[in-house]
Amino acid sequence: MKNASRIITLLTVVCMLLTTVLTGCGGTEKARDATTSASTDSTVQSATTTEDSNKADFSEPVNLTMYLVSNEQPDAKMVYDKVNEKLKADINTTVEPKYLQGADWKQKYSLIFASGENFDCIYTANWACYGDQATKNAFMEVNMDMVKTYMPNYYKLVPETDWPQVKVNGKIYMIPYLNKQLVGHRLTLIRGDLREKYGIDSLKTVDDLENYMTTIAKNEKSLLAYNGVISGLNELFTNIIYKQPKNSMYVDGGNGLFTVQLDDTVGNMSYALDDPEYLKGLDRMKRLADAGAWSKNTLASKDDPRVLFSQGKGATLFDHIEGMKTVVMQTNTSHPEWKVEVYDLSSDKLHEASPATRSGMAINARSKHPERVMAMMNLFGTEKDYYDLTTYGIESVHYKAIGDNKLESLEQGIKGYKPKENCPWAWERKDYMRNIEGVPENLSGIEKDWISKGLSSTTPFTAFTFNDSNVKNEKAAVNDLKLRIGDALVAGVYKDVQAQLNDYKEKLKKAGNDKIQAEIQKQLTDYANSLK
Amino acid sequence: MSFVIKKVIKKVIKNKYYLILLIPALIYFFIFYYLPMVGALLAFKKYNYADGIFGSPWCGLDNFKFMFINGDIFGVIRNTALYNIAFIIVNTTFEIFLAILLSEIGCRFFKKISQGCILFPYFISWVVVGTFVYNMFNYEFGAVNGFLKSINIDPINIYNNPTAWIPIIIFIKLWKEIGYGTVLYLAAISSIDQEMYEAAEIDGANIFRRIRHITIPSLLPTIIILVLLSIGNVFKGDFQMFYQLVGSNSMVYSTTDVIDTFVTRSLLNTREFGMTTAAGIIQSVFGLIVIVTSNCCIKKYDRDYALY
Amino acid sequence: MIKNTIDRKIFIVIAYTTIIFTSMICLIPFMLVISGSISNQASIYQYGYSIIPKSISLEAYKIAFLSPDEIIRSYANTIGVTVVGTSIGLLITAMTGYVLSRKDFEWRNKISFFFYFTMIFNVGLVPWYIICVNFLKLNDTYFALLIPFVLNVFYILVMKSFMSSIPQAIHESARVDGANDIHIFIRIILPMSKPALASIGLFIALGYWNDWYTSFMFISNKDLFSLQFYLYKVVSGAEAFQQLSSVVGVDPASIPTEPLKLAMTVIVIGPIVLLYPHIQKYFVKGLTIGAVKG
Repeated sequence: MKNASRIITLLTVVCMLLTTVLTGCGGTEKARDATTSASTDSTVQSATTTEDSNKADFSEPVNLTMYLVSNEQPDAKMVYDKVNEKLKADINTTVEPKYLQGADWKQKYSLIFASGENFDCIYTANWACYGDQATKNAFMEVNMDMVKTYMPNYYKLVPETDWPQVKVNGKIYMIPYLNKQLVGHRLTLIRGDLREKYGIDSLKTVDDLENYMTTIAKNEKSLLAYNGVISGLNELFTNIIYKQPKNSMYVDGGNGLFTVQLDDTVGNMSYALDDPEYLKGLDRMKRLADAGAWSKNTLASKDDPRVLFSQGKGATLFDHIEGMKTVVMQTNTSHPEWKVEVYDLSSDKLHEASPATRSGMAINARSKHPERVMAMMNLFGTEKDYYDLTTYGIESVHYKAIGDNKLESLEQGIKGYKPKENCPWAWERKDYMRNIEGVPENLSGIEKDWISKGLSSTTPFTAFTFNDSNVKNEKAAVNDLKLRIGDALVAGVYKDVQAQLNDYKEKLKKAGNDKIQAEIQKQLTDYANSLK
Repeated sequence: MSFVIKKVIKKVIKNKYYLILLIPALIYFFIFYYLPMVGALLAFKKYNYADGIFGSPWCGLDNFKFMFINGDIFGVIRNTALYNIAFIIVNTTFEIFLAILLSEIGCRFFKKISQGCILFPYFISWVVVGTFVYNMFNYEFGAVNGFLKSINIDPINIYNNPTAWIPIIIFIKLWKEIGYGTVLYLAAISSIDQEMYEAAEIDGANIFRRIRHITIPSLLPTIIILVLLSIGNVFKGDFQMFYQLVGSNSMVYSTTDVIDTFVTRSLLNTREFGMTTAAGIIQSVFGLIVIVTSNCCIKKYDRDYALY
Repeated sequence: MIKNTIDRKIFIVIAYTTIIFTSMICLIPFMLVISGSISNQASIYQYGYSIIPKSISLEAYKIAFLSPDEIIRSYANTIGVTVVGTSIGLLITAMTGYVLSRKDFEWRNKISFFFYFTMIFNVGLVPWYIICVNFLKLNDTYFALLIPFVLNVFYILVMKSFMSSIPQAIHESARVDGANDIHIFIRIILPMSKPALASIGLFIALGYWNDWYTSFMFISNKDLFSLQFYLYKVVSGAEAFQQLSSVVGVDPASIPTEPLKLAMTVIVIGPIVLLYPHIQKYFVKGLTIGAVKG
């Protein structure tokens, strides 16, 4: 008895050792080799593609792996099975989507490149890691000859001006989407019923807005004039109050310190903190904060202002037109009595269009089938049935088509494949979009107004992206200061605005902001010269 | 030379069973912890995917600079260290206290319920805790100010008050982790030989003396080990806690900003593995210095209590 | 035999008051969580959190259980991984802790340092990921949920500390009886370490139960998701879309994220609450009494 149990225990221990050893084997020495061998792959790629560029050869079946940035919808597999039926028939290709899910997807985004994972293409955008991954050799350079060969119809729909906009360090790394969203310009949304209640006229200027918010703050106790987060206050200050009335745009990639005029062609950059208008704007924010227009603890809040607004806890929202559309539709359904109104407080000024990098598809530098990726994008973006499938699901299962541009959501659609949620945005196309039947959308008027007045401006510098690889340290330090002091200034928390602004400028100088300034100016001038 | 090898082989054979038992752990840690240490190289390189970890160009101490340019790094380091020390002292004291109380109680039912209760906070994520705290403390609609208004006291702005957050954070950390630590100390107390208690009782010692002279000394090895284990991490902040409780509320950064939140905030828009690794190395190096010093000191006191 | 002397009475009063007070502080927030999870999102925004929900709505649970087969599968995955992982992890931790606790093992300090160093010097996210994915090929396998965190230095060293308190005499007498070290370990040390095994086992199990990171890092196949990751996906998907909705055009207010976050907490803690009372019985004094004498 004793011996038997001894043997059994010894065997168990040995088994476990074997399992751990076997899973561990083979890993140790190869670690060094794999990472160095990866470097040869990308150089081999570009050689073969130039050979194949004139052959549209689809005789071999290929399976593509595509990474999307969204949660996997419950019915996604069902939908993509249908997509693959057609795809196989059309170009002898199938595609397997994989997803970067949850709130930490950005971390995973870099890791899949670092580990050399095998996939062909990935969704990218200027808000989805395009700039910083492109400089790390994550993406394959897009060969324009290949584009014209393998995605001719798609290519025809992309405006000429888009291609320069997606360049990083002079090379093109993404295929932009087919929509032009005017998201550089910010609008103001208010509760019309409250405006009428206090006898305020339609808002035309920023002063009118201040008046509205102060009145609400004084008289309405159950809600805040603006109830939300610091990024919303940044929208209000950096865009609506400061940049838009001056016809300018920011060129420093998010820190909001350096601007150029929208109609500038030579690259005259200004330092926003030296501008007296900036201080005036901050004073205005302080007045609003003191009047109680927003919570004293806005810096600490994490609640979504749109949700708070829909719950009746806020009276204003600041966003670009695409964001406004959703809120307007939803509020008109649930609270039509609020009479939400959207205003463009700089309606006679130039409007900043958003760059083509807002959404698109990039090809993995290690992909072996870039031509298939392009052919697939060609179909997704130019053939309506592919577009409808990937964006809205299976007709009469997930939605009911009404005409060409409307739909009605079916129950299975809400449960299994919500419209536009499975990351189909890389090939989003304005004229193929379907709006939900029956919900009034008061904003197309505003958009048409802009386009007719020729206000949406593709300035020379829309395509300019600041490459910060030489000043990464300074940028990180400045980033920290902006979040620490800049945001608090905008929230109107400090007693002495002027003094705090001076202190902010001092600290920025110490952090090397001058170096960043010089670097941006240099790149800006070079860019302006290259356009001549 | 062969004499040395023979000696080593002899030792291995003598200890063969020990070594067999150790093999799984040794392999595991080698693969999952020592091999990845090559990643430390990233801190000194300008990393790009095509060249990989080994091929990317060197850039000296460049990746470390961003932490020091600002000048705030020392305050941040101080905060991290002081909070961790406070956590160790406060949490250990209360956990031991609670464990002793629980161990002496006879009623099984009560023990079960209360032990379960104190574990609950461990399961509540920091996201939810942050939401609750905001609901309590916010100036306009928070529960605390609602209460103050109802008894005619002016509302207070806690989010603007850096000093208030020191006890708040210490308290919340204690609340969240007290269940966890108490379990460990309870387990340690359960292993104490009952005979000593009975003998002491016969000798006339009351319960307080019994605790002071038997329980606490018997717990000393466990306490020292747990403290030593925590001390190595004295420069690593609990990122989730600080991020959810403090977030972007820069008004209180002077007393609540820790290394981890500072680094994340600085690198918010840059996904530079080199820079994050650099920050990690600084934390690790400091931690190493602290632990080597502490372990040496403990060894002088009693060799058995040391970590290694 | 516990005599009910006056000092004991005072002690009991202190003990009960403190413990009740602490339990209340720990329990009340949890009651807020439960109540919030069955509340209507609008009433949370109106009235804040309260112990008794102002208006009841199971919307959050409906969304969490929207795909019942997915949530059942993730429950099954997590239960399986927790049971297997805890068994393996606890056994190896105990083995290692035992060896390190033995004073006659001359390399024990060096090897303790070998383990402890990994706790302090841990800066290799990218290579760790590469090793797991490229060489161990853990991607999309059950092993990915199991292996990466099966051992933890903290538990090994705590186990070592517990086992050090077992008197040397026991080892000696067993050795004299002819037992080798492995035998001593299994037959004698393990039974004597019940409180240690129970507490460390509990922590390892909780670690597996709460883990979402391995699913996030390594798994794309939804059949293999752990429970926490499945729920985290549901909630953060909702939140991510609130941020992305201006890109996507999705109604941000349609998903009750606040009750959903709380429902997630309840769903995860449920089984633990049921399990814990059974483990708790190991934390009783005098468990190791017969061993020394025998």
